[in-house]
Amino acid sequence: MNITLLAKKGGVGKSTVSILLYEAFRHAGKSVHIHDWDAQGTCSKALELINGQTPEVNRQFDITIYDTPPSLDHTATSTAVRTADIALVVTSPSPADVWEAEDAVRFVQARNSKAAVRVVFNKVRRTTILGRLVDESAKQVSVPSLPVTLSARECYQHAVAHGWKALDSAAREEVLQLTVALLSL
Amino acid sequence: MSKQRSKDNVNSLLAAIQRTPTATPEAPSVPSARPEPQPGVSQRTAAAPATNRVGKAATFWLHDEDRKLIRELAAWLAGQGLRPTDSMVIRSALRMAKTGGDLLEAYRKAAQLDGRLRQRNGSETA
Repeated sequence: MNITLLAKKGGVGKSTVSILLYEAFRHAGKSVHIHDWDAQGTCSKALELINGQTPEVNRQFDITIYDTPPSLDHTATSTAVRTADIALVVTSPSPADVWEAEDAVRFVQARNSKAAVRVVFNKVRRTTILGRLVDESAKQVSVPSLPVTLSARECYQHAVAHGWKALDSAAREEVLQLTVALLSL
Repeated sequence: MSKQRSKDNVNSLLAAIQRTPTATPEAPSVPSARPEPQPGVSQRTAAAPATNRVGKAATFWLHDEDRKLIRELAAWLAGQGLRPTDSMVIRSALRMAKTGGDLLEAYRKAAQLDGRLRQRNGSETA
């Protein structure tokens, strides 16, 4: 299964979500690999810190995650989208990010009609106005958003360097719920 | 107490993911340099070493959109550990192309970009 994470802009947490999904699948016993196609190389650096992943070209994985550049014009984004079984548009509750998410959804639909496209809200603070309005914001996007949102948690930032062990129980539960939601598509 | 409950939830979610089958994409078959002889094909043809053939140069008219498609395909192949040339990308794409509605649709899209074809035969792109 190929999962492509994309967004039109940077800073929404594509790489962090990629790493969290990677760790969730890995701890569930799935073989998983990240293609880090973002020039920033966050995932590559993180994987080296977490488990010293080196790319294995000829191996088949249960799950392949594509982390893409923060641009819809980049060739790597198009290629990853064409390969995807699931295209996950990462956004935050910020209105500007939600507008960009709709552009990303249309981008996927124009290139890969077979992929399941979903939006995932990241960095959600339920105690804030924007956080409470996530369900309303989701209606602005033409595809369903995942029923699970990722909260703004500091441990997610730590997970980029330390992996699964940086997550507390609540964070693990949230990430695993997201993973189950993806597998249910 | 709630910590224990959360731990239980995590374990049951992990188990749920473990149980969920993940369809593994078919392994891209890498053609060997010297393919096995096919039944019904003469031994002489089948045994001809492909590596000695260089082909002939050909001129195509490509638009920016076409070059972009070639780059995208090359990027994907590069992700599989290959280092394809444009020629190899085009030759590979030709080998997987099949006649049918998809080809017709692709032809119409390509024809819309072709100024020379439009001049010669307006109905082709209409």
